[in-house]
Amino acid sequence: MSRVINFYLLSYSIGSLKREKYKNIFLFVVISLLVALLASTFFLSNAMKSEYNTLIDTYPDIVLQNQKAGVAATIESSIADKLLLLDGVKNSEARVYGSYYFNHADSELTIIGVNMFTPSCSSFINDLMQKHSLHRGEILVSSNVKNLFNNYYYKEYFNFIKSDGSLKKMQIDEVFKNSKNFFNKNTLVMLKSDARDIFDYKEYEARDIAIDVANRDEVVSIALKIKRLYPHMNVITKEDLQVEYENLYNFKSGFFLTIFIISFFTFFIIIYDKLSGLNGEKRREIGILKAIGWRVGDVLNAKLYEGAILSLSGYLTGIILAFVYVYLLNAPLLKNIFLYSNNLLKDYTIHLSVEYETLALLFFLSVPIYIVATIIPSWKIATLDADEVMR
Amino acid sequence: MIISPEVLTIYIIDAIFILFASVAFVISVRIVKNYDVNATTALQYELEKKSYLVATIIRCLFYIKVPFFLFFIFILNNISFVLPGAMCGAGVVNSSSAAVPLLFLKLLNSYLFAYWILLDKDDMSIESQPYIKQKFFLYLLFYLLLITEIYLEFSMFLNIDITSVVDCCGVIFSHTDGSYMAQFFGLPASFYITLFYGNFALLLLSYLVKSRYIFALLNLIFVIVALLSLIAFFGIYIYELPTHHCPFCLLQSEYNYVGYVLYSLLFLGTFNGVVIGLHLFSVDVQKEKMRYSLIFLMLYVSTISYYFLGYYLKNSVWL
Repeated sequence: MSRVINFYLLSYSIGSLKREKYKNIFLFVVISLLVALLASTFFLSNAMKSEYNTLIDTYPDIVLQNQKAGVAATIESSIADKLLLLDGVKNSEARVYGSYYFNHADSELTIIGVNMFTPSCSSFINDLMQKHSLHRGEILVSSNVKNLFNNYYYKEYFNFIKSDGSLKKMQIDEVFKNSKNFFNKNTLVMLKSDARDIFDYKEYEARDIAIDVANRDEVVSIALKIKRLYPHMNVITKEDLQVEYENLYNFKSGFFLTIFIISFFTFFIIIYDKLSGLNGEKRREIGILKAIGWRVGDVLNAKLYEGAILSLSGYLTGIILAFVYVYLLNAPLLKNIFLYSNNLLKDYTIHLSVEYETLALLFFLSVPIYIVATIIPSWKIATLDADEVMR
Repeated sequence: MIISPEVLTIYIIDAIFILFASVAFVISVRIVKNYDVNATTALQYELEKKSYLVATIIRCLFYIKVPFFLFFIFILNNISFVLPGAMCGAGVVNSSSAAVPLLFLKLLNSYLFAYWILLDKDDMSIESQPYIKQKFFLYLLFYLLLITEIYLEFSMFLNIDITSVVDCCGVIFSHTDGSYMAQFFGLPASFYITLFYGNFALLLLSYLVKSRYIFALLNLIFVIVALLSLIAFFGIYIYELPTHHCPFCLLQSEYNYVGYVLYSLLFLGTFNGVVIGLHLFSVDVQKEKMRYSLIFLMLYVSTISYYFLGYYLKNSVWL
């Protein structure tokens, strides 16, 4: 190991870094802050991604959507019964759900319609229905929504505004605990017939049809069968959604990265400039080193060690800062960029999810680039002529 | 085309490679043309200084290139989650015609740049710098290879179509397929065992004989034999699945990322072995290189044997 790293040279480099304290502290702080900023956006977007993935896991295997003029339209509920006849389909359900805009609080609520005694394709709803019961004109709300309603003095009932402008009064029946996943936090559950009433759906209409498949491996072929039966409709499998979200978040963080690249390059130009400038003392030091027999290669190595120490420690500090900021402090300010400003999602806590490639990516964007940026200035210093400097 | 933060990072690092490698290239051309140890001109003096710059640039590029190669493989595996049909890096490689030559070129370049660094180190240790023209001339060739590699890398990521379906490794490395790979899978187990362990035994023998050319040649053959036997035969013991022959799935978390260990050991071992055939080192260095080569290869062979024999010990049956 001592062959690969020369420890005497390393200790010289550390000493040399200490001699120019203020300059190096400045460089160190800038590197760590840049890395910390970039790392926090990545950590945050990774956390959102994994949150979506756990959400998608609760989704049905296949969803059948109707389309009219390229826009999602309602679908006939009876199709669900026809699909049950297909081999391999375990369960199918005509789903009635949607979002409802609560004007006063400026919040989107998610309304999910259920049938009391038929199993749903969503495990979340099935669990819920085992614990609670619902009747006509009653709603089941998440504790988050309950708090929101309390704030507006809807303590026992809530008035939904229907599409014809009239009011529909619903009793708040029971409250269920917020699930860990933040996408369910603004949920309220009611019977399908009530939901149809609020959404102005006809008796035979549903938003889409969810299909559960008994054997995972058959999803693709069953999706094909359904597509053949209803070629004008949209068949979406769970995997499609996963890929779509993956791409969406790649795109989002890619966007951030492009912005940061600019700041990184600006920074490296500053480094280049800072390291190229040599004061008299530094010149004398190099001169003395050469006079006592240091070769160009030694000085060069010492300089590269300096760069490696500085960038590596800056990188590590940046990563630690980002951890603290995102996972301990819950990413104040930055969170609002990723979550759209819905009142109900504000108390979302970020769950730890670290992807190795993010750490590797940040490493490649900081350490090697810094070292490469120092090559030419270091070389200039190392090839100074001893006699010229000492004069 | 695929845009993810990881791929963008690859683009950025590649751009920096091109920039610095080109600076080194221009200087190398001047050195090859004008360098003259006996001259006392200002130009000669300047070139001597600049030769340090080139050497440092190439060294840095190589030290970045090695972990960057691992990162690249890691990213290939990750992209496979986005591509329909792909389940590991093999699917991604399958999605673009540039990928196979790119992988081979990356491997070749890793060997060549490592060789260059050793040549440089040896050259610097001798006062008269006997290899100076040779090493800068070699760099001119390596530069072209490096640029080709980067070009292929760009064209690969730009050509990946995330909507079209690709083959997964189960199809690419299939027994029943009519492809040339399938013919290798049909060969009997004894063939691979003899080939692999036989080659290694010859290596040990040539180490005792201390013949550098034979040792280097056997190392070169060992690269091919090891990779081939890994894909066709030993891999199935790591997967514990008689039909799975993929060289990429080894790199996934399901198999404890063992692929990274195996490929690194193979590289370190064979590089140290091959390089003594290419360049005449001093006796001490040559001995040391042989020893290193043997140590890394022994580790490689024992890791492979661990899976191979371990499977039999656990299940008392061969696959």
